[in-house]
Formats: sequence, C-alpha cells, structure tokens
Amino acid sequence: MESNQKNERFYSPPKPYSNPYLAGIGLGLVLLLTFIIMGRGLGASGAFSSTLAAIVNSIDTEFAHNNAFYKSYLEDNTNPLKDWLVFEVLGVLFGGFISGILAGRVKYSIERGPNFTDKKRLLFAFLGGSLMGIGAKLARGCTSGQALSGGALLNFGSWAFMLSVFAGAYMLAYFLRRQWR
Amino acid sequence: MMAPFYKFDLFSEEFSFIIAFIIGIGFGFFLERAGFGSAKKLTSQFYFTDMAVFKVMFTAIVTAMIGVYYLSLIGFLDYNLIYRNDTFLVPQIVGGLILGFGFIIGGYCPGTSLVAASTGKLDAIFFLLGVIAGTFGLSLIFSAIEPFYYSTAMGKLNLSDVLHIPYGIVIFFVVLMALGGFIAAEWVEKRLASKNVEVKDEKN
Amino acid sequence: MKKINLSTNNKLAIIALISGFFAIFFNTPYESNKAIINVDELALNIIDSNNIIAPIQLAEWLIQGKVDFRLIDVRDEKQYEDYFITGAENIPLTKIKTSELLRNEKILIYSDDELKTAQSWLLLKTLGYKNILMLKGGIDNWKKSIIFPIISDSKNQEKLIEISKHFGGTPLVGATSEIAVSRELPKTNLPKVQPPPSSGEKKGKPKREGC
Repeated sequence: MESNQKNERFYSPPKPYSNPYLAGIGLGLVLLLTFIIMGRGLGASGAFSSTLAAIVNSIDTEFAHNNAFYKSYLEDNTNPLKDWLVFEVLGVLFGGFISGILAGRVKYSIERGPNFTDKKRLLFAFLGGSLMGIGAKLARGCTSGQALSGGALLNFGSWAFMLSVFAGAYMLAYFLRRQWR
Repeated sequence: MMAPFYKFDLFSEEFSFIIAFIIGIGFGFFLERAGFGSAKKLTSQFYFTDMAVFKVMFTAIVTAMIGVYYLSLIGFLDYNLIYRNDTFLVPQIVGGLILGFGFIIGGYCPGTSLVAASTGKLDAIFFLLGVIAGTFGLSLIFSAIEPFYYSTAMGKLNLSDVLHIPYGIVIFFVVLMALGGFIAAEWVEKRLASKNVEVKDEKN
Repeated sequence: MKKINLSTNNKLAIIALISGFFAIFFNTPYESNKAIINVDELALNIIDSNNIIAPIQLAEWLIQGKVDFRLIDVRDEKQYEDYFITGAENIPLTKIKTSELLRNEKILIYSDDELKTAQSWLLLKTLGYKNILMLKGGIDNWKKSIIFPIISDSKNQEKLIEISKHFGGTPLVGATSEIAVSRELPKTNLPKVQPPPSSGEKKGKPKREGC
C-alpha cells in the first residue's frame, strides 16, 4: 500500500480514455480532412511494405527487382521510403506519443492477462503481427486503409473485409482468452 | 469543385509529405485518446466487455461518410477524385479473416500497434517486427499466390452499386445500423458490468 | 415547457440520424455529370497557344525520352488498336470521368483531327484538368508530318527523315507539293506499334495510394 502511495506522488495516474464517440468523431474528421486535402484515405500497413521494400532493396537489389512483390515499389526508381504513408506513419508515432504524454499513459509495459507469461505474450505478438502482414497484403489494406477509409466511401470490398476481420477475431477469441483476461 | 486539393495541384508532392506527417499526428492522437494504444482495451471488443473498437470505428466511418457526402453535394469535393481501392472480393475476405486472427493473437492492428509502440508497449514493437516479417514471408511466395491475389477482380464498386440502392439511402441505412449497434453495445457493456459486480460481491 | 436534458451521446446520435435521414432525398454525388467552368481562366487558356504542340515537337520529346507528361489517346479502343503514337495510353473520352488521370498532371491529348482534339481539350478543361496540351491537327497531322512526310529536298531535311524512320514511317522523298495536297494517306502500311510495356501502370500516377 505504501509503495503505491509513493508512486502516486511521482507519477500522476493515467487519465481515463476519452468518450469513444468523441474520439471517433475526431478520427472521422481527420479522415475527412485527408480526403479533402489529399484525395486519399489514411493507412498504415502500406508503410510497412514500403519500409520492407527499402530494406530488401538495400540488401539485395537484384533479388528485389526480380521479385514480383517488390517490383511495384521499385519500378519508378525512387526510394520506396519517399512515400506518403511512410510520413503519415511517422506522424502517427508522434501523435500517439503526444497524446500518451498528455494523459500520463506513456509507460514501459507488456500488455497481457494476469495468467500469461511475458515471453509467450511477445511470441504471440510477433505471430499475430506476421498474420497481420499477410492478411493486410491479401486484402490490400488493414483496418485503417480498408475498413476505415474504404468503409467511409462505402467501398464494397472494404465492407466485406471489415466483416471478415470481426468474424476472424471472434472465431479465435475464445481460445485466446487466457492471453487477455 | 476545388477539393481534393492535391489533385488540383494546389501543392507539390514534397509538401504533401509535410501534410502526411501532420495528418498522421492527428490520426495517432485520436487513436491514443480512444485507448487504442492498449492491446487489452482493443481485444476487450472480442469478449464483449468493452466495445470501444466498434464504437470508435463506426463513429469515425459515419462522420467521414456524411462529411464526404454533403461536401460532394454542395460541389466542394469531387467524390470521383478520391482514391478508392478496387474490389478483389475473395482475397479480401480471406485477407480479412487472417487479419482478424492476427488481431486477436497479436492484440493490435498495424495502425494501433504504432500508437502502442510509441507509448512504451514492448509487445507492440514485437508485433511491428512481426508485420514486417509476415510481409517478407508473403513476398517470398508471392509469385505462387499471384493468381489468387488478383482473382475475383470487380473494379471500383460501392455498396450502392451492389445493392442497387441510391447512395443516399445506403448512407441512411449505415447510420441506422451504427446507431443500433451503439445502443446494443451500451446494453451489452452494462449487462456484463453488472454481472462482474455480482461475481465480485459473491467473492467478498 | 418541460426541459429535456440530453447527454452528449444522445445529441450526437440525433445529429447523425438527421443528416443520415436527409441523405435519402439527395442525389448520388458520384453520379453527378455537372462540371463547373471558370470562364475567365478558360478564355485565357484558349487564347494562349502554348498548349498546342506540333507533331515534330512531340516526336522530339518522345525520342528524347521526356517523361514529365502523359500522352493520352482519347479515341475509342478500336481506333487505338489500329494505330497509335508510340507511348500513348488509351483513355476514350467517354471514360475520362472515371479514369485515374490526375488533375495536376501534364497531359498531352490527341484525337482524330484538329477539331476533335480541340473539343476533347475543352472537355478535359471543364473537368478541372489544369495542364492539358493538345497535339496540333490530331493524329491525322501526325501521320502526315511524321509517318508519311513529303520531303522535297532531302538534303535539308535529313533530321525529319531520321525522326520519321524512328517511328517506323516512310518519308516520301522527292514528291511535289501538288501530290501532297491531294494524296490519300496510305492506310495499309501504317507501322505496327508495340503497346506500352505495362499499359496498366501509368508513369505519372502517384504510386500506391492504398493502405
């Protein structure tokens, strides 16, 4: 008990999260602004592909240019990192950090349920990320690019994608409850 | 018509990168505000204890959808100039399922993992590395799955084309659906919360 | 009157419901065929003859490998298949509205003849394309002056012969100007042009707009 009080003197407790509807409106206005200014939506996974293309290209240029996957990132001979999404993602990192600092939520931690080990959690995070990379490529986008941006434009493919994301996650949720609960 | 500004040449590509960074800040800020920097908060969606993912996502979709619609109506924004992904139905459904699996196993999606990583979550950094590794793995077998990747191409297609309903009516239905969903989400949350209280009481 | 207290969430829900409801009564925005013209700007653009490019100029650009513009053939698909200028992409006029051409790109268009090219130019201008150039005389003029040029004095026009041959043309050396006026363009021996290597991927298009 005493140590807890000590901590509170040095760290103000994290503020509660915003009203989800207000945060959603904020997010929607950012998306709308992106449509108005750029004529495109938000994204995230595309920046990872660009980064990967840049890494692979710097390690083995020949391999990268012969691979159908990287070709589209390299064919115009500019650096794949010179991409709108890459800059946007840097902004996301920064914006998340600002909000976290303001609300006292920046803290080193590993998110997991009480009955799950850190090692296993990190392994699962990596595995989940890998699946996400594969899925996002197949679907031509992730939750930000397809579900959010495409959803707001009433894209048929985006809505089909959105439903299957929720379906996929609910299907496995029961088996993974120990990781989170 | 004067928007989208970029497609009317109001600024250069280089300047668009500065805009990208600023927009990214807004995006990341609201993701963090909503609590999407926490895998526990995100995955609570799938245990019905906290439906914030659904609430935030659909509020954002409805806000942007209505904004785009009315701005197009008054002739400010040219809807045709906004980039829309082509539909490749089957790969997108399969990709969505895999992404959903990745979501519940890894706890994040690419955008939210960035916010989580910047607020100090080590698991989010592992998740990010996983995304790059997974994409790299896919690139190795990409030529083999290319036929599947390009299958069921349907071009640019929106819900109003598919359902043969005017765009405005689709908007109304989406709003109704979202509001109905919000009411249901609040109800489920309240019910589970009262249940949890009961369980705690019994323990005490 | 009884005062009704609404929570923020309820107010937001009502706003959403109202804006969603009124959407029923309006048009589908993306079906709109209307275009807004800035008359003054358009008038100045019409007076300005810098947006008319002579075939020989285009030929030189193509040989130099100039890539800061997109060459667009706005005739229909069949005409395009028969013959097109090397490097041209085909976007028929009826499909311009839904094409992915950017408003800020430098675009050089051509159609059959001078009149149709100019009409197409005007249509693109009204659609808000800022930087549209047109090929003087359309593809007919291209054929006349590049593919089958009349060359009366071969000594002074070696360069033209070279350019013509570059595009697979057959310069008519030594022909008189009377023939030039009355001649029919040979239709059968138009050079075969290889379609652009990746007709789907355009050079000027911003790469990867998706997520």
